[in-house]
Amino acid sequence: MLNIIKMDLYRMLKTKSMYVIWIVLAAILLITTFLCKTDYELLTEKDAMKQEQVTEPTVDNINVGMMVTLPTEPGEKVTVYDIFFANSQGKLYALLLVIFTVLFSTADISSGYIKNIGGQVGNRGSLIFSRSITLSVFTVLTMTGGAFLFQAAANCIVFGKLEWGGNTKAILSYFVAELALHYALVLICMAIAIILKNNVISMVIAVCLTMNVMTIVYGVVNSAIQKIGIQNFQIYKYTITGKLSLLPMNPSGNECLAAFGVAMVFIVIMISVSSVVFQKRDI
Amino acid sequence: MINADKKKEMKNLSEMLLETRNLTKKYGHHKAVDSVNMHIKKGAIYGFIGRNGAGKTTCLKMISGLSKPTCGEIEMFGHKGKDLQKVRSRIGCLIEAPGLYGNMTAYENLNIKCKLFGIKKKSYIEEILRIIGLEDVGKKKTKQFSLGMKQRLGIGLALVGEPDLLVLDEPINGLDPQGIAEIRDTIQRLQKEKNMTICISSHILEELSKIATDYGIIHNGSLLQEITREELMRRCSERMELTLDHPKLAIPVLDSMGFTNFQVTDKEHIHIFERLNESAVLNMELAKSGIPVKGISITSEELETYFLNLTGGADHA
Repeated sequence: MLNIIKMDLYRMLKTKSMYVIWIVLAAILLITTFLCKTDYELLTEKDAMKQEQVTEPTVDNINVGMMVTLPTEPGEKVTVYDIFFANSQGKLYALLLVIFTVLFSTADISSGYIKNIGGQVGNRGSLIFSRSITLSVFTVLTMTGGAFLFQAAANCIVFGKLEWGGNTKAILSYFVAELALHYALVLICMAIAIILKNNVISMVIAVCLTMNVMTIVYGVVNSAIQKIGIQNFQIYKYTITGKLSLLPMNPSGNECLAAFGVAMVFIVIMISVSSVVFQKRDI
Repeated sequence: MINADKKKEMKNLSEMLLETRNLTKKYGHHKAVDSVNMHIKKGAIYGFIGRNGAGKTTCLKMISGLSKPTCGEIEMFGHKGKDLQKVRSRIGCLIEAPGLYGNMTAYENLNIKCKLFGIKKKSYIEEILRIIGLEDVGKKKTKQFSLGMKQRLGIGLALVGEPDLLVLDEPINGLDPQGIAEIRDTIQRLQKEKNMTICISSHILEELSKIATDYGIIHNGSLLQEITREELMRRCSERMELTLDHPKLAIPVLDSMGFTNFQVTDKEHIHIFERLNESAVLNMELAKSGIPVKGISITSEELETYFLNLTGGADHA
């Protein structure tokens, strides 16, 4: 098993798209930070109140599409945490993570390399497990690098100073919860890519997921459940994309636990489903 | 004691490395492989012959563990059923086109598989590159390789982990004569130097006939025949073909005349593979013994004709 993980890690390190994703992330973070500065300078208190209503995540303000809104109020300093929160909630990280996930998960299938190794591995499901471990490394590196390296650098360049913001405990709780949720989303996209074996369709679905397209489906499910008599049920609370949108900037312990719980359930289900499919299907 | 050891050695030599029993693969209602019983001896180069779509690739995929049989059984290295998992790593395969990462070098492609087997030695990869004749490609990406180079790298990948059985599916497809010769040399070298058992499929019979020691002929998913190289050559070689009502009656006459290399092929025919210029004398002797000869002719068969006759004629090719 360790050998398979080493093999996948080596493959990931040799994959050009990983570095392209990181370069794109760094460039986007720099641009968005610059745009944030411009917006922030034009922001009045009236606008800020309006914006606060939008950035405070609720079920009602989950919209289809991508929206990055800075939570900083006029007079406050724009911190790394502010912009990381805005980008996470706006699913910028998620978008880049799922693009790489689809490319990486299907690379050996589309290149045919899987034929060289698929027959020689005792249990083909272990290839999926090692892939999920490798993707966890990528998720951690991307989000940590994105938040603490690229974003910090962008803040230094654009604002001329570095403000981390928030207290360390709040930052870490939010960061770890976001990490788990993003990883669960990555594994959902890995499962889609492995089951469908089609890069284009998988990529479209993955991007749609990050763009909250499932909101439409969730709305239908919510009203259906309410019709059968269960009031105040919100499926968003039990989905990864819903949790990603709803996790507040200063999450309570319960909110973090709930996010973790949902992420873990999806992580286990996705690894199991992909492993079974990959094990049973012919190469 | 020596005799006992020799007997044991002989038994081991004749041992089957791979056997399939009623191996079947169905896609929907279509049987791509239908009750195939293959036998591959240790150290053999098994030529798997069949037209496009005959079921060669499906069969080889099942042997390589890339595809699951619908029914039937595979026994390899003395293992079968769930036990087969234990010996899967002893098979190296190149199925259809070589699967390579185009934006990586030959070394990197090999290194990925080496990681799977826990091989860390740099010299191991260099040795494989030497065996397949790609030691001088340097940092060239495999997407820039010629088809021949890709095929050789595909074989190189199959060699990682020192497999005992090498499964090569159409490795010479689309290659120019130079490329074909290179692959042929590589395969022969592997069999001689590493004593590998090799199963190689192709529809280019002339090429297979240059290297294979045993043949399996598959058609429409069914294995029509398994035959050794000697037997195939015998069947295709120049021979005297006697047509008689009762071939068995002619055997004492042939024996008395000193013929030793002959074969009763069916109810009406005897094939004689020696002294082909003595047909008139033989005819006379048979007549003297009261055995009427319905026909006597000297014939030979091309390998391709033999294959076409077996699989239903040239009109189907």
